[in-house]
Amino acid sequence: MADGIRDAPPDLPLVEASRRVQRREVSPVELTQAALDRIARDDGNLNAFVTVLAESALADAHHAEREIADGKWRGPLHGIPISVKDLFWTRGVRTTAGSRIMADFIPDEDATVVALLRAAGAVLLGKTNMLEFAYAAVHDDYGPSLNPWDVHRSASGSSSGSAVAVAAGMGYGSLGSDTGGSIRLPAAYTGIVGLKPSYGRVSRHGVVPVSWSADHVGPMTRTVADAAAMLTVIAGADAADPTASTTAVPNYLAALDGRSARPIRVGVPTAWLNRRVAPEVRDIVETAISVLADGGATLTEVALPDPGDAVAALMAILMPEAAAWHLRWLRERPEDYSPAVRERLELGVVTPAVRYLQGQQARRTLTEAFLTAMADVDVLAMPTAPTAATPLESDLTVGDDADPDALAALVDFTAPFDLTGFPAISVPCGFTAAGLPVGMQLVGRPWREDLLLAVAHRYEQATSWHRRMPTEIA
Amino acid sequence: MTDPVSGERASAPTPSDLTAIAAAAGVDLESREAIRLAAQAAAHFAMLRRLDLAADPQVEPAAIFALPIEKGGNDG
Repeated sequence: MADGIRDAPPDLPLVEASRRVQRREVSPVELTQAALDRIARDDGNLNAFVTVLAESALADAHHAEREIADGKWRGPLHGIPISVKDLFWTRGVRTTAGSRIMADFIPDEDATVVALLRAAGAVLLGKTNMLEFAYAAVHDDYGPSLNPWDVHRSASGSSSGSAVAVAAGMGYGSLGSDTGGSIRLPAAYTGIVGLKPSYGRVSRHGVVPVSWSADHVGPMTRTVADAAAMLTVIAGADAADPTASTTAVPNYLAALDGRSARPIRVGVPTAWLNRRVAPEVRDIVETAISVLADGGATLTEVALPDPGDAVAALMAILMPEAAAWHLRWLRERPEDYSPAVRERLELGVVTPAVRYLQGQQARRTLTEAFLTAMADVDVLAMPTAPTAATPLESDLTVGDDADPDALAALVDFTAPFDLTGFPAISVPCGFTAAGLPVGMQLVGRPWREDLLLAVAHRYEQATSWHRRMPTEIA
Repeated sequence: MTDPVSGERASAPTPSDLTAIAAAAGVDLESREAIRLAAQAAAHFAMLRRLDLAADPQVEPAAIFALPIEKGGNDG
């Protein structure tokens, strides 16, 4: 796969596009039209979108253009075209959750995060494709989103369409959700940035749930600064979501370049890096970690709990919570689910309550263990996924099988932080010999997205992986 | 059923047990889905058995919608 450099619309990073809008070098209408043209050109091959809102997007872009011309600039998202995963409620716009069950659902209100994006002046380009109900497999009615670096390979999931859209120049950012790795894994597979904030940092109101106690909403973007800009807009308390925290929301974008008084301390879980990771991925991530050290960070080996325990605890919690939400449809319309999702929901139905409570006991113990392990470090560094993008024919997300063992291995690095609620970000950190992107995951302590983003930004500034983009999509 | 790897007595059939049973019984295609679900259930419950060690019975379970993490959580 050939690659290019992100230096012009529709491939600009969000923050750079915003700067050019502010300087009147480019208009929101031009940004929007460029993204729509790219969608028209490539989405037939990539299948990133379920719904494209061309008409309303252009109308919103014209409105933003007039406001900005009148000196009413609302902030970094004003006039910037973005997409949202098709599980965020959008008033008057079909919200399918990638399912046949909800294929005709048209919400009468926006999710809180969608309302916040609109209030910030963002232009909604469309709703992106996803795994059915964000739950491990694609429904045949929608088909998989294909990886723009190699269309014969998976974009992972469940926020696959969002990742593909951002990677391929179909919008300047997207909103995803993450319960076991669904923002970070597709970000790693497609060479973009994916941020899962702390649990409670972002409202879940109006988001079709997988697991109430493990669902997280976050940005998927081309750069760390883009993610900081989006998080600043969507984070905060929400009267409609009792789990949305009142913890103050800083300006994450403004905080990116803040210099700390001491070197950043990076914890490296060597035992995890040696656990079921493709050697090529491990080498690339180890090189990325050395870049952090070259930039002045101190590296410390840390011992973390066994990720297998965290995955088991998460599954014991997640699967019954998902089954509880789906129970009526599971009884009345079981044939409308894909076989893999139906089977996983059925396993949730028969998971004993004792296992659920053991999962919650382990969650408390593991959370404390991770906090202890991070007592003397600012962030952890590790691979996001054990491999680069896998061939479609062998990928978990497109087959009928939902092998729990295989799924557990895929989410070894991501699921522990959905269980514990710690913030985590995937940043592009290199390419395999086959030209596939690899992601490094950085994990922060709860509510320290500011520090996490600053470390990720510093890494990004020392490298150029984030500037590469796929071309010749066919 | 006995786990062929560990030799321990398992509480549910392993996927390989079920595959062998299905083959011996000449299972037809219509039964394949049931066999697959049973195999996945066996793997699922085997994974959850880890919690017998990972979960301390003396620990109070985490509050479902408020994780025990510093500030925030269900503090609104």
